Amino acid sequence: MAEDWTEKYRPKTVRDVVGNPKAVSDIMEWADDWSKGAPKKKAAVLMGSPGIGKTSLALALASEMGWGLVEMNASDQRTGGAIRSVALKGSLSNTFSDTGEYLDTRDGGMKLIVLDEADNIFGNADRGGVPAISELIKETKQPVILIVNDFYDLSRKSSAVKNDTLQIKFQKPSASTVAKALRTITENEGIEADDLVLRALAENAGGDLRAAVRDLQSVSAGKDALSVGDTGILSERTTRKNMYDLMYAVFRKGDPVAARRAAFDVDEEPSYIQLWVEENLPYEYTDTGDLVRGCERMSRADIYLGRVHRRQYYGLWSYAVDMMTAGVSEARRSSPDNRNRFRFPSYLMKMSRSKSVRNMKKNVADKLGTYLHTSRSRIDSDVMPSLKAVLKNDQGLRASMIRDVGLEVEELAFLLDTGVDSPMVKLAVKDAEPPKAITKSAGGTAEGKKAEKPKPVTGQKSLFQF
Amino acid sequence: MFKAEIRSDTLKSVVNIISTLIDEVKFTVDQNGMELKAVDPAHVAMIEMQIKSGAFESFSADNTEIGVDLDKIKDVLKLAGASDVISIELDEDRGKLIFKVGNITRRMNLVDTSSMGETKVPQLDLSASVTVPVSELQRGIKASESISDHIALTANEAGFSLSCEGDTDSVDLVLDKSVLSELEVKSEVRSIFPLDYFSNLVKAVPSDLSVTISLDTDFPVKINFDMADGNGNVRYLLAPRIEND
Repeated sequence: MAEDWTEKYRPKTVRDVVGNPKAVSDIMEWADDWSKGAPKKKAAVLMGSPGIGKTSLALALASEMGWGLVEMNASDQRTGGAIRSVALKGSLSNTFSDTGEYLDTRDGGMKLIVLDEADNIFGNADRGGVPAISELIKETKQPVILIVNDFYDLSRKSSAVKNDTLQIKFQKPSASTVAKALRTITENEGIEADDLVLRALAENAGGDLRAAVRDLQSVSAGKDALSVGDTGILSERTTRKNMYDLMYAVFRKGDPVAARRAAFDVDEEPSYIQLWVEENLPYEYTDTGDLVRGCERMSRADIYLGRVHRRQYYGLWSYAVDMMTAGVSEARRSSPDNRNRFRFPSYLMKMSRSKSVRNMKKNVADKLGTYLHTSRSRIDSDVMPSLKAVLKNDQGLRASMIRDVGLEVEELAFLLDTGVDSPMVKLAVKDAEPPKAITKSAGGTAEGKKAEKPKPVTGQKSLFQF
Repeated sequence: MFKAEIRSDTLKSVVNIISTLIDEVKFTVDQNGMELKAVDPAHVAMIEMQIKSGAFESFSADNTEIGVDLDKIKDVLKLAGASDVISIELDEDRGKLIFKVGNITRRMNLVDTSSMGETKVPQLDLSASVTVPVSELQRGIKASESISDHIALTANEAGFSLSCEGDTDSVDLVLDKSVLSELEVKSEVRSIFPLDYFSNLVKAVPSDLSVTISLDTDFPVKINFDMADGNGNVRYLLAPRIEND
């Protein structure tokens, strides 16, 4: 197979990084500060969606500054131990580079430590990864760059990441910027390509430069000229457009029959279509009469969906869809004048953003529920609020949450509304550990150990066994 | 082409020394022996090792590169007694390395060396050098391990010392120049190193050897020693800890 273009055309210098001039100048300023001695923020976080040059910028920075590079990405094991033994140890000592140089920080010879996809450090495979990152940020004597897609997720787990880092946002490059970058590649590869083709590839990738380069490589494999037809095989990345097409048919086309037909072409459930129409309705129908009629149709559709759910009779789906498409379309009396982009359902956005919080809540409630013989919803409504308040003032209870209820560190931090590396959580973890010295000296026999460690959770469960 | 036989204890000390730094390595082989240069993942230490054909019971090879996973060789070593001879052969067509211990044959996949660049080792100008029996260093390490995570090496006209200072306790090992077979010092030099790197290496060196430590102030240390009856040579470089201004 030919060389991967995403590697071949990875920017070699900071200036070659496409777009994001602000991010590039921010990071260069930070790097210059390092050459003058450690800056206040010893770690930088590059955040932004995938494929837009964050890793490329970090790598280019290291080579441009003549720094050594220690990179840990998602394919490496990133437990707390692994991060401490590679990144943290590397951050406390001077450096030997691959090119056979000894780099001394006193002479500006730094080592850049890059943790790629740092927000993907979680779960059992990377146990202890997040606290190790916090430690790294606090103790490092070398520049550290964390690369994340979702900054919120990581910063919530670690206050060091939130407060002690320089945060640099990466924007998606525009389609024309992406097309320009693609043009450089085709020229270099000796491929004749129409502007329209590159533009189509760029737009199709939705700001993901890496995806665009990959697409370009796959459509131009074995060709020395590209025509518009060649992009046809790239239909996958365009499916989302169908929902926007449907919105257009419902709100702006003025043809109820076409709106109804468009719904057939969209392979989505009525409840999903409902969310889209509901979201866009108030923005589209600015005339009060239109809006009232539209909302009436939507409420009818909702009644049908409710009946489907209750009676498990899916035959009613088609009435619901007719109401929310043809019905809403027909509700319009005024002529359409809105040229804005249709909106993605905000309900879904909020739900997906709060997903990890909701999961955390659920897990905590399950654990407490086992302990307190209470349902998840009861815990949520009755126990959690008061427990949170009590926990803030009761160190013994915090430790007991970990030791007896079996909460994970992250879960305790969630209840306390702090990061996993806050002093309160750390202390609780320390107190929750079984007193090693005592068990060792006292518990020579198996019996002694059993007496030392009662397990309340299993003890409670056993009540059910009678 | 590569075909050799080696005593298991020789192979074991070679593997133990390298694996203090790195697990997957590339050996460069020619008809006179093999060579390895590697830097650890944290870019804190480097190793350069030469093993001449004389270290092997038998040795025949052309110019080639062999990428190996040292963890797997450790598994092979567990099958052998100290004086057993292990035969190693490279099967280039299948990309395998074949180890024979007695009547057991272990075939292992080679590690892809294409992504491993050529490591270069810097030339360092170090003003002091001492030759110390490893067994003494090993005692010093043992005393230091519970104290702190870094260690200071000092050389002056009186001798060589190793000191470790923790929050509450401290330990010194002082080797008077009468114990040292060689001492070359212009003025006192002192550097601080991460203890675990230093101790892992010192523990891996066969304890009947002596090592030459080259040192300077706030500069890397070079530890040089011969093994396998002078047929193997190791140079180990360790970068100093960054001190707060």
